[in-house]
Amino acid sequence: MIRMKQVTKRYGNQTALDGIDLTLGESGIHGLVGPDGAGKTTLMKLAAGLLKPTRGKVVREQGTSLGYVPQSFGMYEEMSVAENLHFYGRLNGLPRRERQERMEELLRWTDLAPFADRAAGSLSGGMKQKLAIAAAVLHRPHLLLLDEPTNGVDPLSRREVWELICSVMRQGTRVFVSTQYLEEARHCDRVILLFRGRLLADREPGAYREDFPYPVWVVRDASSVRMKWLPRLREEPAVAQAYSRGTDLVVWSRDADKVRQLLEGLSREEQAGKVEAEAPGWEDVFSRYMMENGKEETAW
Amino acid sequence: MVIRLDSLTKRFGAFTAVDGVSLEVKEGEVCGLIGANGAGKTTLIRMICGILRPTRGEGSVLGYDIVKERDAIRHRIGYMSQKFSLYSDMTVEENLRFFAGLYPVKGSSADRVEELLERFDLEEMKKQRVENLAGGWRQRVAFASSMIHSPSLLILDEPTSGVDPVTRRSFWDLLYGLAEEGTTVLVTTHYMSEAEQCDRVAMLNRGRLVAEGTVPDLRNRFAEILHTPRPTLEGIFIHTTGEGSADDNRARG
Amino acid sequence: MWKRIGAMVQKEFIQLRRDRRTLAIMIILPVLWLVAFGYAVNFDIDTIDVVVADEADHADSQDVIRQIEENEDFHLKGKATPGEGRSELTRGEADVLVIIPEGYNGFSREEDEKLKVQVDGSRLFSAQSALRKVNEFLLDVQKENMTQLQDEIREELEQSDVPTPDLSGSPAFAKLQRVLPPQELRQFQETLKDQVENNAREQMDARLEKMEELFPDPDRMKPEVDVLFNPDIKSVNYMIPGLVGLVLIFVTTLMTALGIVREKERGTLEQLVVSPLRSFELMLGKLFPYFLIAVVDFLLVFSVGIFLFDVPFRGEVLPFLLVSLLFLTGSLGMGLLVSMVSQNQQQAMQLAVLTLVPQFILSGFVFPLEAMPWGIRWVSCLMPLTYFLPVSRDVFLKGTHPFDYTTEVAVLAVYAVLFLGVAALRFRRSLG
Repeated sequence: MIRMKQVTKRYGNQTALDGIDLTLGESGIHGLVGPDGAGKTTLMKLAAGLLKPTRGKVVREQGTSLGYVPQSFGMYEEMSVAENLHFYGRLNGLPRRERQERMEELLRWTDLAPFADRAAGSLSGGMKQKLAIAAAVLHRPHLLLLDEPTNGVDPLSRREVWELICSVMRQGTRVFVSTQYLEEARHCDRVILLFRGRLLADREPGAYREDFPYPVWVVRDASSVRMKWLPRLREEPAVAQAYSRGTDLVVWSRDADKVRQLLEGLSREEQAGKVEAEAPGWEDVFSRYMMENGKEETAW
Repeated sequence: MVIRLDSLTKRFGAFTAVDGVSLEVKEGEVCGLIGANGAGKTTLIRMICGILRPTRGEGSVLGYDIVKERDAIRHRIGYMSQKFSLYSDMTVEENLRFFAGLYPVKGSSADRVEELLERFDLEEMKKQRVENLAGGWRQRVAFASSMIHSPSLLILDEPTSGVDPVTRRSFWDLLYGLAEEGTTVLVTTHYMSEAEQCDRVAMLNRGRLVAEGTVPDLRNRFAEILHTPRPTLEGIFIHTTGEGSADDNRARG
Repeated sequence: MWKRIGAMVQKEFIQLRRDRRTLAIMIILPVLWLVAFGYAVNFDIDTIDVVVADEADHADSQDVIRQIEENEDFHLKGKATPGEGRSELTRGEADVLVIIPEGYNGFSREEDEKLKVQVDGSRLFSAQSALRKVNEFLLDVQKENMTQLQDEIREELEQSDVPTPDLSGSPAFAKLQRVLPPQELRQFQETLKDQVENNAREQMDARLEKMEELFPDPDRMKPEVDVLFNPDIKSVNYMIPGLVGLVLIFVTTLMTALGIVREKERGTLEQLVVSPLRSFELMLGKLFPYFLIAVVDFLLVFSVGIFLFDVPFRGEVLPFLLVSLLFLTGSLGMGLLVSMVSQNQQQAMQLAVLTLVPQFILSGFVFPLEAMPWGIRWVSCLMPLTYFLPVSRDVFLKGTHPFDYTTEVAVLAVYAVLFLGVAALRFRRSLG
């Protein structure tokens, strides 16, 4: 377990992290979600012990072994998949027999077995990430730290990376994983929302959606009316937020019935599709916390 | 048609980055080019901008041939690249002035810069150096600078990658506004959630176009195949790139 | 087109103005280098300790020794054998060893009559100034001797009378007296006398000329210099004109090497590429500001050399400036080329240094070209600095007109065009 107490990290006069209180290693998969520049990598590096906090404390419990996969590909590109695993196994002091067994097991899990002799540099993005994860869990660490393992990876491989993370967790390793794809929060047992160095929330995924305070209505096929409706809806007191999402129009309501009636009225008047209720998405959840923390004054 | 591509192919040595892509984008459409890193999005965009010459195939942008009339195209399109494209040691105003100097601008460039500063709410920070601006504001300035010559086609390469949801929302508001005024927008992204924002999407995988059409069209087409009334674009993407070709998919590189 | 180039130039200036540190480095560094280098080689000593090995030991050689003794720049340490003198040099007890060979008499005509001068080249600073002074001094002594001798001979010849033919006693004359009237006879007599006198004078002049030919060319009287341990000593006068070239090529190449690769790294280049800006416009826009700075650098370095180090500038300023600009354009182009083929700033720096260090070593700045084996010398022939150095040195020190160096100037022009051309082509190609 790693405990962070009032951790602040500054680079020059820029505050990357601001008063973070956090315990890692208590839940199976602990997700760290936030946009670029939120401080995700800094937090990861503090947890891994690669950085010292400017203020506050980072305490690693005695005997907690770590695995760490940095954002940049940490494997030797000119060495083969098997050679890389061998090397990291020896680095972690695994005895020969165990190393061999563990390698075979991991190659199977990651579906990398057919590529064991391929140079690591020639693998696709998703396979590289899986190799890096395999190398980091060779020694069965208590806690695995993953810094944006799915960044820039195609959706199919991304799904595979998450499957691997889940099986690592099932083997008894706790995982702390960061991502900039908000919707990936759904794979986690607990989710931290991080924005501009501040911890907005640290809860279970279900809790975020359950207590989302604004029922969400969606008007389908509204692309022809969006520019006309949006300014009007935003002035409505019963509307907390309105935005267009492709052909849909999404509206958060303070008063669900009133807003539904309003939308249905508008739909009838002009060419627009059905009005439907929708569960809030992760982007909705994140924006809600940004609003509530007065972080709404963004650039756009 | 603002963009018309006919089996466009680009090879780098033995590697085929873009493989026979045909695509049509209408005026005022917001078209999303979707794919993972290395799927060929940037290569395709660079051919459309006239930076790269296709190995095979042809295409026209705003009626100009992408090989023979690249200069005409460059004068008429706005391009916001994936990498940060401003001079961070110069102020907001200096950056805009610089780009106004590069492009043919209607009227005086000073007036045009003033107009953009106003439209993008940059008036207050025009004297600030770009390096001192927060990420979202920088992107706003970059966006303004790509609009300097009022292009009729705007090409944005991963404009909202890693941006917070609130910022992203207002960005799309602006984009829809432009599209309504008749500007055609081509935007690349590897966010599936972003793809949902577009009027039309083109899904790229390993240089090939795997699915293309307006968003409602695609949903209808795949509703039955995927056994869900309202399939997500992510579901469609995984379906078209995944099943059956998974091994093939993995063996690349 | 001019609007776009103007936009580029203005942008570069704004960035330069913001990046004060780089700007300061670009302007102050060359001067600092020059001062540092310049002082390092500017260590003149007041009196020079001389040891003489007199192998001739006669009036002429003693005359040389006497003159050394009388000159206040020198201090005669004493006489010794060549071997002893050499070891005194090695121990640092003397600065110069002068060897007067047996065959020496006043001035040297043949190789074995040449005076020999030896200095310890490992003591660079004292050796170089000592050598210069001793050399000049001994040459003067010999020239003096020779002129004296020539004058003496001439005087003697002139004083000897021209023989006037007296015909009055001869039988032929008696016959003529009988035949010719007295007036004509006198006339004939005069003519004859004139002719003979003229002949004699002509013959004497020819003899005098012949004698002068027998004297050696003053250049051949230069003492035979033997620099022990370090054959490449240079004086500050010789260094500074070379340094001008070296400093300029360093600063310009390094500056421009970063110019384009920086935009590549930051991602701004792509934005320029999709704009209507053409590749040559981009290059001109990039080069112009650096060109201006290079000119400022040139003027600074030039003035420091002349006013701080009192290096004589005997040539004409304007033509020299023109040739220097040609040279600068070449090195700016070189930097640009480096910038285009590099992927990041680190690579660009490495590549720039890779092109510069050989120029430093092989251009003739440090080691004389003549001393290089041919295998290396042809490498020198590929370097722009090799062609600028002789022009610079001779314009400074000899006052030669730079345009007299047709080959060198032509090569510099070719380099300027070549580098810029290749850079432009390469740039266009890199865009697909």
